[in-house]
Amino acid sequence: MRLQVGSPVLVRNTPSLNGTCGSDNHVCTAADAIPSGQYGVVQIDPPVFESAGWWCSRIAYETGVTGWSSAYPPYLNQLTPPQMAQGFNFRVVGDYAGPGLTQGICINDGVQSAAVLNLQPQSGGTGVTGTMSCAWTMPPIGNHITVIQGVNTVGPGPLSAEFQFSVTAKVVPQPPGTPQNLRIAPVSEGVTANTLGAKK
Amino acid sequence: MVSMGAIPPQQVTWTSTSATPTIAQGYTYKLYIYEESGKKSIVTLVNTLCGVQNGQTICSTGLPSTGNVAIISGNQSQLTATDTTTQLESTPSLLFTGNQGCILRNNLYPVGQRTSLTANKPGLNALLSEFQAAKFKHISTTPKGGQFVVLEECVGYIVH
Repeated sequence: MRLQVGSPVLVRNTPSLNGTCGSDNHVCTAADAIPSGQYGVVQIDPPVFESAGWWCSRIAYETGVTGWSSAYPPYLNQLTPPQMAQGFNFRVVGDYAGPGLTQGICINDGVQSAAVLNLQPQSGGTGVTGTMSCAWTMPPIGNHITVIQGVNTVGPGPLSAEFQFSVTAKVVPQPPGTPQNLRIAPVSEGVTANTLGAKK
Repeated sequence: MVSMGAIPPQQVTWTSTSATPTIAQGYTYKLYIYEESGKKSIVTLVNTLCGVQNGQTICSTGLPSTGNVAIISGNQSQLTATDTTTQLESTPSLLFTGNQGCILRNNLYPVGQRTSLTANKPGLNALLSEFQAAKFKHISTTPKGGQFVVLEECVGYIVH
């Protein structure tokens, strides 16, 4: 579900009005607020009814920040279907630490594709650590679930193992659309500036 | 119809896809110009204005004088948009082909317009080359008072 921020909203690390902000867990300030007009996508985490009486949802904002925000309008506005982003691309990243893997599999709404493995040997021990990521073109409407599976088919132990871990959805920036209908003409023959709106 | 004279101010106009006017106005636009001679240049457009016309986001800005070669007949140019936040650049637009004639010594000549310049004998070849590079076709060279009057016609392509 894609949302638009109605009023500036904080992004907390936990679903609580006392939740901290940022990777350093600092007390939230106005500087941490996502401004109105920004977009985000509700994550698969269930909404939390926190003790002060607010519903919180975990949102991956298109600014790149993911966290818990108070969900009721005017803070977050659900977009109507015609305004939903079509084919909006995400990268779902999972942190992994464990035995070496031979394959990573993405399952986005049941559709399988290969995960990109970025794993390095763990220092001072066996196994590997790193990330597994999945590209995902988000469907416009509905509830969506993504799963990343790590598979190990070599060495001792089971031929194939599935590892579970939390995932975080991140926006993959897209370039602007290709300009079209390029024209160059004397000013008197072109579109004049005052028909186009305010100057930047 | 444009007659010979100083190059008039030029306006670049395009349609911005998948962006509101506010967003499109925040992009940086670059015009890649490919001259018939093989020379290439990039001109950054500034002070872009965007608005909505017939449901489409239309953007426009003045063409810097450094980009005037884009209007010369036969020269081609493409526009890209760059998101200033991510620095991601769009794929280039379809080619626009200039059609306003020839530019010689900062004057614009429509195709078919004739003009003449005078040179002495040591400078004659240089003048002929200058006309050729500016996409003029040589009509005649006439001796006059120890000098040469060169008559040329703008054709909008390099005459080899």
